[in-house]
This record gives sequence, C-alpha cells and structure tokens, in this order.
Amino acid sequence: MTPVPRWVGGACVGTFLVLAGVFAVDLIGKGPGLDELPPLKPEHYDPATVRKVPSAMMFDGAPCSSCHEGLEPNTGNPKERGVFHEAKKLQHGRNQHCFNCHHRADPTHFADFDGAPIKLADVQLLCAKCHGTTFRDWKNGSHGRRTGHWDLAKGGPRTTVCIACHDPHWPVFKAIEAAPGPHVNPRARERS
Amino acid sequence: MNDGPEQPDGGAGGMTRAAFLAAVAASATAATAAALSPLKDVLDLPSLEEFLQQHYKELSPEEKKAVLERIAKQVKKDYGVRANLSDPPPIPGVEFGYALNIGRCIGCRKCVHACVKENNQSRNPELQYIRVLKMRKGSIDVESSEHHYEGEVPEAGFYYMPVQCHQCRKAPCVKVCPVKATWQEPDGIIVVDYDWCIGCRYCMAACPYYARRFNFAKPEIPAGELNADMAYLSNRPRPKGVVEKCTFCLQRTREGKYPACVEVCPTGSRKFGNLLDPDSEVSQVIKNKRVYVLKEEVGTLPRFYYYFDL
Repeated sequence: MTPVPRWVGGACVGTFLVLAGVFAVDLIGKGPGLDELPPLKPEHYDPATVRKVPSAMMFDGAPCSSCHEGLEPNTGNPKERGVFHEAKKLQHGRNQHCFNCHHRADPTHFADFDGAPIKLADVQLLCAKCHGTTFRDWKNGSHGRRTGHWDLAKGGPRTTVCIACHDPHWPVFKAIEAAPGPHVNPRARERS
Repeated sequence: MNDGPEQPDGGAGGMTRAAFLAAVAASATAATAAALSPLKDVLDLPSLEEFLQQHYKELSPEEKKAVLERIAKQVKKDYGVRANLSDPPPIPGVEFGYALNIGRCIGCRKCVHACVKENNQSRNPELQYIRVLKMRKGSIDVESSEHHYEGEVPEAGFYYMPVQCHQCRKAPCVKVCPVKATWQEPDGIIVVDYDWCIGCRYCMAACPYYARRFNFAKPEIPAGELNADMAYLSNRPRPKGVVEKCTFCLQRTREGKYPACVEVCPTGSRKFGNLLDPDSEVSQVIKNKRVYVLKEEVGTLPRFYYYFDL
C-alpha cells in the first residue's frame, strides 16, 4: 500500500478545519433584527360608533322643556331670535331651515311632512323624508352599521341609527386619523 | 506546491492510509458539528403527540378532544391564559358571503387592527390579514395603488379598497397545497390546519389577492392581549413556519356573530351574511347594488363582493 503523501492529508484536514471555523463563527449572520413596534391601540379596535346617540332631546345638556315649556310655538328663524341656537352650524346641503326637521310646537320631537311629531327614537323616519333610497338600503342592510349577530336564530343584527354616524347638522362623514399602516420588514427596507 | 513529497521534512514520505482516514474523519466531524450548531437554538420541537397527530379531517371526536386539550394546555403554559378552545362545525344551509361598500370606506384601517386583535396575529414581526389600498378615483388599477398612506382619511381624489381573503369558490391556494393542509369548508370558508402545514408557501404564490401570510418567526403576542375565545381552524396561536389567513372570524361567525372587521367598521361599509338566505344583507346587496369582484378574469369566483351606491 502506497502511503498517502503528508501534504494531501494536511490539505484535507486543513480544509475541513477552515470549514468548521467558517460555520462556527457564522459569517453570514442573522441579518437585521426586529424593529420595535408599538402595541395595538385600543381606539383602533374599539367598535363604538363615531357619535353618541342621546336618549332624549337636549341642548347643551339641558332638556328642551327647561326653556320651551309653556311657550308659544316657534315662528321665524330661531337663529335670529335667541342667544342660544345661533351658534349651531348647519351644513346640510340645501336643507337650511331648522323646522324642516325640528317640530315648531314641540321641540322635543321632529316634524313629519304633515306636522305629525317624529320621536327621537325613530329619527330614521325623519331622515327618510328626503333620503328615501338610503332609508330603503338601511332597512335591507346595504347601508349603515349592523352589529351583533348575522344569524336571526341567535338574535339577529342590531341596527344603528343615522345619527350614530352622521351629525344631523353636518352629515358628511368627518375625516379621521388613519390607524398605522403595515410595517416594512427591515430586510425589504435594506434592499430597496 | 505539488512537490510536497520531495520536501526534506517528508520523513517517511507520507502517512499511512489508516492515519489519513482517521485525521480526515475527525476534521470532517468537527466541520459537520459546526455546520449543525444552529440546531442547538431550536427550542420548539414538537411533542410526540403533536408529531404523530393525524390530519384534521381524519381525527375522531375523541382524538379531536385530546388535541384541543393539548393545545389549551400549551396556551396556558405560553400565555398564562385559560383558553376557551373550540372547534365549531359549519352550520348546515349557510354559505358565508361578504360585501364591501367602496363608496363608503374611508380607509381608516380600524378593520385591520380589530382583525389582528381578534385573530391573535403576531404583533412583531407584524402580520395583518387586511390590506387597505388607496386608489385614485376613476382608476381600478391596483398596481398604482398605495397602502402605506398616513394621516387624515379620506383624502380628496382617492377611494379606498380593503383587500383580504376572498374565500374563492375555485380557490387556487387549495389546489396547489401539496399536503392538503388547506381546504374549503362546506360553508365556504377556506381554512388551514396549522399542525399539517409544511410551510412551502405554494398557496401564497397561487393566491391572486395576496391574502395569505407566513410566520417567518415565532408569532409574538403580549400575554395580556391574547383573545382567549379561539378555534382550532382559525385564531389559536400559530407555530413558526406555517401559513395563515382570514377565516371570516370562523370562531365568531359560526356562532352567529359578525366578524370583527364588520363590528368595528365606523362607516358600516362592511356587510356579512348568508348567501343562501335571500333576505340577508349580502344577498340584498348582490340583488340591488352595483357589484363587482376583484380580478374576475382569473376565474376564482370569490365570495367577497365590492359594491357602491348610485
């Protein structure tokens, strides 16, 4: 048997030891670490509506009756009469008259076309006076929020009235701050 | 260098074959050991029961119960939370559908964050099922959309199109899975068995909606934020190296509730219900509204519809 030349043995062993060294020191490394990410904020998953629906007609925290009790029915434009309601900003399209919605004789209610009162709890009937197609969509579920159960057997959905989302005096949906966008992976960021 | 044998220190002129093999074997072992050393950092090796667990569809009721108990125990150990772990079955006569009013969506991303919270997605690295695209008005080109927008929304001249899993009737992701770890349930929801997924990510490549996400690292969820109401096929904590996706909040919707994204949407743009019920919200939307599906031409037949008011 011919002996193996010593340099061949040395070269083989040396190669393997160099390889072992390379693997052990992990030349490639683990890449960039994770970024610090802020935790989820409760307001970004809070299912509350954007507005609070009052349970009774109030003005500045006082019931309507505290001023209007026993008074004659309102006439003319209330904004020009008192010091209370003139600050109300009305940006409801062409609908610029208080008594298109509010009841002249009974300020705790709204007014239907024929002067019949509409209760605050039925406010959608008031909005339906002009927004008939939206009211139709709201009734069959294509407009407006629904929460609770989709399954009628489990209780069915809870509908949300118009004024839980729209300010009746300024009904366009207000702009809000967007929740944070998707985080960019550090590796992807380095490449670009 | 090839004159080695002639060098004076060559002595006997070489080494014996046995000595050579021994030296090479020893150094090769050292190199292999060094190469395998990253394995010492692997801590989440599966337990024996986990390793031997059958595919979800082949589990007997008793085996399923044992699996749920094992997972609940693991959750208790990892997060200190007593999990209400269940496996709700599909409801007969129900096919879920989703409709989204792109005329009303303002792009506030609350759906994205409510989804992360409800479905126990990893917070860091961040993983989200819903991507909201900011689209120029008059354009339906998703390639020119922007999803990193910030600040006040809605911005004038733009509309917003959230995209998530479309729960397709002809789902390409199901077709490509080599191990059948993802499938379509009778109520239309496409689910993943996280214990069967091998992490090949073929489904992610196949999905035309970018609806699937991969856990490149072990998902990190703060213990206090874990949603304890979890189901096997949806929001239980996922291991590293598996794919996950929107399941229409199966743990909620199979109990009759709305998904988290529907509950949280401040504009009421999101509609959910039973496609087989002609009076449900989605059926009414499809019947009465202008409806379209995203990438209709790829033939996936989504159960997710975009609509707008006229």
